[in-house]
Order: sequence, then structure tokens, then C-alpha cells
Amino acid sequence: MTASSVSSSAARSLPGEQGVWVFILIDMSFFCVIFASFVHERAGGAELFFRSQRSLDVHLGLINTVVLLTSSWLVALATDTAPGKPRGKIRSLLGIAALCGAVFAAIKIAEYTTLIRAGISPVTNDFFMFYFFISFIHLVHVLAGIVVLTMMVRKRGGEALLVSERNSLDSAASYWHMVDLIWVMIFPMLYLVSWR
Amino acid sequence: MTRGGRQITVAWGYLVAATALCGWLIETHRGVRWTAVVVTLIASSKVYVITNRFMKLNVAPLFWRAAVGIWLLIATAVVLPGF
Repeated sequence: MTASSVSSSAARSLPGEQGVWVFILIDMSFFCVIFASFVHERAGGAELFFRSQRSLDVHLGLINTVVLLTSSWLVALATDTAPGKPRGKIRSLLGIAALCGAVFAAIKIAEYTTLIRAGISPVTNDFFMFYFFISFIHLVHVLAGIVVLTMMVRKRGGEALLVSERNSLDSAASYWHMVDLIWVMIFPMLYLVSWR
Repeated sequence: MTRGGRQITVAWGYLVAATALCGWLIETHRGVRWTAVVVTLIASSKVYVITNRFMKLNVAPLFWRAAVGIWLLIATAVVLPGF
């Protein structure tokens, strides 16, 4: 083995725990199956899906997308130079990211409330059954992510991160980015992509 | 800000701009099939950027890059045939 291949294999490392990545892949596959079911149902009722989709507030969806992307950006900045970054700065970035997650959840709950007050529920039709199911499952992921980020923020210790803490931070960040990328696929599917 | 931090911020700028573009496309061309295809492809490109720049999969071992890449291809393929 040459020196360059040794350094190359050392440089290629998975951020965080491998177990977390296995969970991420399984979770993403689960969502992929739900996407397939949604598309299958939509094929049989394009007009109904198009009309139902117009009841959703696209602007709230857009705001939520930007909020989640911003939160993911802050987490990525926190993990980027974590070894040399003061713990206080990492905690601030993660704290604001968790706050963005809370804003996302609040907007989502406000959206549910508006729809339910307008007489729309998961039993209204197939579209809204999927809308409530998919967005609620995702919301549960967001809430779990907020808990994980808050736990990272509350961790006390010296100025520098320990190797194990660095690993936990990367694992938490990977999970949070997964929550973000799943939303990036859900948003156009539920709010934007439809036709007569 | 470090070089890595700048790259992450540029990626975030792209993601927000792409989201705004999708919003504009829907405002102006809602209900048209090609808009649906373009919006889905933009979403896939956003996922690619998130996995590479935020999740740092570009420096991960081949297996994990391939696994997530295949998921993205399948997810896009699952959504696109509906058009």
C-alpha cells in the first residue's frame, strides 16, 4: 500500500456513527415507499389531487422550506470546523438551528389548524389522507431532531470538543440534514407538483 | 469564515435560490406538466447539494455515496413517471 493510498483511505470517512447512517438509509427508503404510494394514487385521480392541492398555502410551505434549509446550513457550519471552533460558538449555531426547527413545527401546526377549521381532515379525500400522513410523519422527525439538537446544546465540557463528542455532533447533524432533504422532496410533491 | 464554511454558505444560497425559483414557476405556470418535471428535477438537485455539502458525503467511502446516490435516483424516478 502506497503512502498516497493510505492518506486517501484515511481522508474518506463517514461523518458520525455508522449505525446512524444505517438508520438514515432505512428511514429514507421508508419515505421512498410512501412517495411511490402517493404517486400511484395520484395517477388515478389527477383532477382531485390538483384541486385539493390548491387548498394548501404554498407560501407557508416555501417559508418552511427556507427555515429548514437555514437550520441545516447552521448545523453544517457548526460541524464544519468543529475541532478548532470554540464550544460556545458551536452551541450557539446548534441552538439557533433548533429554534428554526421549532419555527418549522409551529408553522406546520398552524397550517393543520387552519385546514381543520376549514373542515379539511385526513378523511376528506385521498390527497389529504396522504398530506396529513406524510407531513405528520415528517413533523415527528423534526421534533425528534429538535430534541437531539437541544441535547447537543446542553452538553457541558471544556473549550475543545472530545473525539466522542465530535462523533455525536456529526451523527446528530447527519440526522438533521436527512430531515431537511426529506422535506425538500416532500414540499414539491405535496404543494407544487400537480396538473390537470 | 473558513473555505469549507464559504462552500457551505454558497450551497445554502443555491438551495434558497432554487426554492424561490420553484415558487415563482408554480405562481406563473401552475398545473403544467413541464413545470412539474422541472420542479421535481430542481428538488433532486437540492437533495444532491445537501448530501454533498451539508452531509459531507463527497468525502465518505464509496459504498455510502453510492447508497445515497441510488436512493436519490430511485426517489426521483418514482416521482417522475407520474408525469
